Amino acid sequence: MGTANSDPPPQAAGGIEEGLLTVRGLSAVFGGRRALRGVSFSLSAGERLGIVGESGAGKSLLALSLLNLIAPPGKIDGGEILFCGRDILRMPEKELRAVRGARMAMVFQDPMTTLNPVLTVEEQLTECVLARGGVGKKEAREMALRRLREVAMPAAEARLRAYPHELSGGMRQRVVIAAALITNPLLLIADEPTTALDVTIQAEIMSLLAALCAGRQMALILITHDLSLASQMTDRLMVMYAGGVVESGATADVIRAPLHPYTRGLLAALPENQSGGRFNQIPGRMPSLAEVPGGCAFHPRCSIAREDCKIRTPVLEKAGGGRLVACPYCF
Amino acid sequence: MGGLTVSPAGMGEGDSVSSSQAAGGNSIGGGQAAGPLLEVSGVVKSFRSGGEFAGRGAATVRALNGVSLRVFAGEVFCVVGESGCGKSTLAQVVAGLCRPDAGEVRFGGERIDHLSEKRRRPFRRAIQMVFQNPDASLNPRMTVEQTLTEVARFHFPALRAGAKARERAAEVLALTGLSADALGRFPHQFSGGQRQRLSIARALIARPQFVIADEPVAALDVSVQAQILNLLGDLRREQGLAFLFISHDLSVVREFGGRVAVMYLGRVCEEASCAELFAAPRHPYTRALLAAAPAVGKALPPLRSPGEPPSPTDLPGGCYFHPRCRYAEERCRGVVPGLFPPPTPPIGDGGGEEGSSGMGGTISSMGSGRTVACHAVAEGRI
Repeated sequence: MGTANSDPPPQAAGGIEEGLLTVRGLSAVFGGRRALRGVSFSLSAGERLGIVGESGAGKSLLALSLLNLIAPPGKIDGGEILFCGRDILRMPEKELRAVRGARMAMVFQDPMTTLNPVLTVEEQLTECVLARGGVGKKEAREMALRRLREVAMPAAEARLRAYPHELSGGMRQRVVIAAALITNPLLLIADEPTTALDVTIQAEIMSLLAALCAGRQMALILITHDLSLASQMTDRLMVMYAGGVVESGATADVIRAPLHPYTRGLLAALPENQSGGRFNQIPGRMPSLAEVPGGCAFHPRCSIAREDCKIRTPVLEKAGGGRLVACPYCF
Repeated sequence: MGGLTVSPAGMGEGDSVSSSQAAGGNSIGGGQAAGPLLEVSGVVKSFRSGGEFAGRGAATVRALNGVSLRVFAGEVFCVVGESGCGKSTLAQVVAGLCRPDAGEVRFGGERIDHLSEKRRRPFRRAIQMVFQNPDASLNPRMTVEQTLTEVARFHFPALRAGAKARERAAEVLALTGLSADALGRFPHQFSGGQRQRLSIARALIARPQFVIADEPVAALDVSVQAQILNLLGDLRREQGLAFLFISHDLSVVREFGGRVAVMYLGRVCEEASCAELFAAPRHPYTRALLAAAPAVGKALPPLRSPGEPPSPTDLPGGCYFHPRCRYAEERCRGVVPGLFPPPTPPIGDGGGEEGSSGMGGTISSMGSGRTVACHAVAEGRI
């Protein structure tokens, strides 16, 4: 197979007007408890969105929902996820399988849970291509090798024969990214892709991801607890708290002038923003699903909470400059 | 070493509590503070990888390859480095959880690394440890009261009678920001941040002089992380505790203050005060580490692959960083660089450094004595 055909540009990249992905009112329960509360956002082709929040915010559940991968006791119970104009939640299984992995790919935090320990790198990478048919074994191997080179795997050819345990954490994550890229997805969802890695390796993987997205016009959803990292990697930010979106907007705007008290608290809590020798803490902690308070979920920890915050659930409202915030008192 | 030295506690403002006094009558080493509270000299530690049954397939993991450092009473000493740099092994050696293959650990002037379990006991009390994961370090079947009073009764015979241990447990809980209601509960009834407070309470109930905190906030969310860091900072100021603070997170270390040693594959490659190190890192590895750390308002580092660290089972000769270092020359590949004060002080007053008397890499951790283990720095190339 010639190289002309080897790296087709993302097929639909030109065909999509603006919304690659539109999520409207997505709700989910987990073990009977409300875990996602009407999450809405959209993403254009090639755009990079950061979803930030602390553990329990619902970030990972949201990521899995986007691929309709929620398994019991989790269940999506409302909303729609339009990907290239088609609703993921109402797609027949066959079509869904064509979308998953092929046009929307996912990278998880721990590469060892993604990689099969008894398969070589080559087998992992080619499995998905071969399963889709139309490609010979040799050609699939070529594709795998090309992807490994694309993710800057050292000694790529030799690594095809390696098993995951023979690779370092950083190299494993490169293999996972190569596997995600092999079908030229339009959207890559990366859920804490570098949390398990050292900071020097993290920097390499992140720079690599940024370059890949730019080079391929691939959209990225980066899910992370690390606000600093999100600020470096993304065009837009969405901040989540207790299963809901509290704020979204252009990354630079949100970082420069956070609106929601939770976003402000998160930014202030970064160690570099300590003041007077003390770290700025947010009192309390993220509630578990069982104990999410009524009204605004953040009100017990909020410094500007008023009486009606305990009763009234705030909705995301326009705050100018394409920003949205779910707090009526933060302006 | 000179006369009476109460070490500077880094960047901390107004350390009002005198450290020797706060350590109380229980302190080891008499509290004269003539020398360092903790002195680690040339510690080497290897492990066999692959477990007991690996047989000939086992490799030797060289976790510590000659580490020396000194921590003074009331001082914060941070150790940063990435996974595999030996920072947790160092913590275990200091805490007496494993014995070094070579080298010495002294506490209050007394050598402790080779002591029998019985003679080690007073040091087990004086040196306490807070681990990264409170879920793994708190017994899930013991109530908070049981966990805390067990430690109190073990170390203090006077607390064995009546409800004294319980009173003491309530006291340390209050110090860590928990109420006495916590006593009757089990670890799983607390949040991650609260559980870390419990681990700290368990360390405090032994009235330690020295606390080893091994990644104490790595498992916590950023808002809760700030709560725990503030608590540790308060304890340092109010109780005059010395800390060995181990972390992979530069932004945390930077703000926690004190002195910092940067470790790479079982060796210290740079040591300086926090302020100095972050203002002007000298060792190429320290620089790479700082450049890679994400921060708000900082651009992503340029895409280039300096490669991955070598395996601790198969370390290169010379400077361990040379395969990834762009300043590496012939000498770096063959000769292990010693830790010495750099010839050209970076910024500010570099004068009056007193650390140069060290031999074989042992350098005083006093004052502004920065030390760097790099041929290129020593030769003035960088």
